[in-house]
Amino acid sequence: MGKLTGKVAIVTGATSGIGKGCAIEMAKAGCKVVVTGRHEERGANTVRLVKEVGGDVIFVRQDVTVEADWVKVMAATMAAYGRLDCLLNNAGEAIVKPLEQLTLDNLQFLLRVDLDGPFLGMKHAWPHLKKSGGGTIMNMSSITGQKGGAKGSAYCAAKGAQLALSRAGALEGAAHNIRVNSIHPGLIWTEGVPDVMGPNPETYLPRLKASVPMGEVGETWHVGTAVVFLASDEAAYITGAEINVDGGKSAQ
Amino acid sequence: MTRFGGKVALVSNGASAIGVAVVRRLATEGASVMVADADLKGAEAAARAAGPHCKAIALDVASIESWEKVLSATVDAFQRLDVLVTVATATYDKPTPIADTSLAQFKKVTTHNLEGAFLALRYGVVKMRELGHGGAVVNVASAFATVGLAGHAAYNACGNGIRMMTKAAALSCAESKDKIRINAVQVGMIAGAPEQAMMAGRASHVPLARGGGVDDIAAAVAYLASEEASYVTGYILPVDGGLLAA
Amino acid sequence: MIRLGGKVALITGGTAGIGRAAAEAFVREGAKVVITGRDLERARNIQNLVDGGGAIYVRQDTTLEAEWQTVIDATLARFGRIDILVNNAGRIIVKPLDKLSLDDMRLMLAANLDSTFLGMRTAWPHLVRAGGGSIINTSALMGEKTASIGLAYSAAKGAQQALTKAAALEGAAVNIRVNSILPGLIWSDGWKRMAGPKPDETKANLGPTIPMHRVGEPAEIAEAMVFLASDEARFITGIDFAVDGGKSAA
Repeated sequence: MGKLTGKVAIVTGATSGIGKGCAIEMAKAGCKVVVTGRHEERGANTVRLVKEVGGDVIFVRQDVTVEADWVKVMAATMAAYGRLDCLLNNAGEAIVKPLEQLTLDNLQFLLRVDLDGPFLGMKHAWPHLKKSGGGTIMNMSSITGQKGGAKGSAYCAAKGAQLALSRAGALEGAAHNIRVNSIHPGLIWTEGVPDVMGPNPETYLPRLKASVPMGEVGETWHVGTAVVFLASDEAAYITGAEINVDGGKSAQ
Repeated sequence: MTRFGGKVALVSNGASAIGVAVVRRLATEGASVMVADADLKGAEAAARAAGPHCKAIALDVASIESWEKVLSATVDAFQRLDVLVTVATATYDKPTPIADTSLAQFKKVTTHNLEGAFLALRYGVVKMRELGHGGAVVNVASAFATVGLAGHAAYNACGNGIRMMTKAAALSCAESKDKIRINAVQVGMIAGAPEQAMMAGRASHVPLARGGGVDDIAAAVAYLASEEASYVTGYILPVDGGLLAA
Repeated sequence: MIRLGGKVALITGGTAGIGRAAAEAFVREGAKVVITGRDLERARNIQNLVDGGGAIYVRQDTTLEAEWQTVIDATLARFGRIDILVNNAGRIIVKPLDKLSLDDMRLMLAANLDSTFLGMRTAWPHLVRAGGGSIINTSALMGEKTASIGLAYSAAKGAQQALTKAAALEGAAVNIRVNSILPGLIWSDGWKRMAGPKPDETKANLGPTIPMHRVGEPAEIAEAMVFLASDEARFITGIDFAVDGGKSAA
């Protein structure tokens, strides 16, 4: 029996990267998983990977900033599995630009994805979690969400706001046995890294690794195992916490 | 699931309420555990209860010689040392304002908790490096570290001292590429822990509106000590029912 | 405006660096200041303040319990009261984990933690008698952000910061405010000694490690201490006040 056997989770932004890795780890732990994202094809790929580890999974197409899509996701979850125990608000975006070049649109875009998205998720998951007798919500932040970062003013603002949302959610959820925690990965290798850093990892990977105390870039499963622990009853007394998975980066 | 099959753990203050729970948990998941405590009888009882692969030994956490002896005895008995768990348990006998506290009272607590954790890290890490197979240290200290608690100044000081020690040791091990991770668990209002008495009658201060149990601490320790947390180091995990978020 | 007029302050480790800058600023703001330090030679650094009539020097090792009573007695004898205590004296050791000895750790705890405890405990009843007061404990950014070679120092400073918070909670009822100051990289005498043959170059090279691109000066910490000591900060207690050119935000 897995740590999450009998539980049902929604993982947003699970069509790639950390979300995909978390969905796979949760499925390995026995969780039924509803994976969501904007891209059907990539969603099908995640579904295939989750099934490969023996998981029970459906994909629902969703833009987390659209409230109607949340209604759709909840309905699909109930139709498929009849309950909800866990929400992983993983979908997120980042923009890295000097303050003078950031537009108001940039900021509002990040606030929509990184703040409105988790807010809507929490709001729509809440009644279902209450009905299940409690549950867990995890919001995917970043170690940059705990402090400042040059050229990150819009991103840090959005993630900082999201962290405050997580804390407030933890306090409000306590009465309903809903635990809310925030997850802060450091440098994690995903298929999205080359999109940002360039197509030749060998040119920048040594530098990235050297910036982490452990000297390694993390893997998505490293975040996934933390998510499994937090989602499980093992973490029954943990709420309002910030969970770092960063190879020691935030200890500096 | 046996996350600790074939692994060897040493738990200091292993006869304390949290220590006993950690020993039981690690043993249940397959570890051979050396239970170390100043109270040898208590350690023996904890080891017996945890199963045939556990042994007990006397430990004075504030003594270099004692740590060296216990670390050697652990490796002699089990040939490895993968997991080292320290539990800070010393407090004042009763809440005492700073102005009424003697230096001796203050130092009794810091010697046991802070110097004890220091010696565990200092000699435990060196022993793990000698063995060369990597490992994990988890320090269990108070959640009252970045926030205070009137009447328990020395205990507060230990909580934050151990928090910072954990981070520095983690960076040291990460830089050495010795595959040793160092993390800490912060204890909130946990039944059997000192925080239970310190927060008596104040459960309403805890967002979850209840105390936790020693098994909650043991589960967190097991996560951080296991391979599941292999990219986690220098991290301080509060197990506090939301206390620090409020 | 004289911000500390009529107040009596005790500053440990006040003959050099940040402590000396604080003593100068406190005197400038009208406080009477008792400056302590271990080293009689260094006391010459503050002779100007003593000659000006605003300060006295008392030799003290802050780790020794008996000397605290001597210092408090001297303060009361000369100035009749005590309103402000700046636990500024401290020591640092940086060494890799496997080179640290228990004696190193004990020295860090004695010089940074026990001394702060003793100062607060000994001054406490006199602050209460004065109707309240302000205690400022000099910690360090290393009490919050650390490095591999800073284990013993960070642990001691972290412990000191927690002690400060516990004291703030106790002091709230008797109008004693207790705060930590966390200096970042400050060009103090300690750094000057470690800076090698070309100190200006060392200082310039350290600049880019800080968001504000420069090393701080002791006077910049002193001004923050004046603020925390003054009535302007009367609703501020239990904080970690980082004065670090933005380092703690990064």
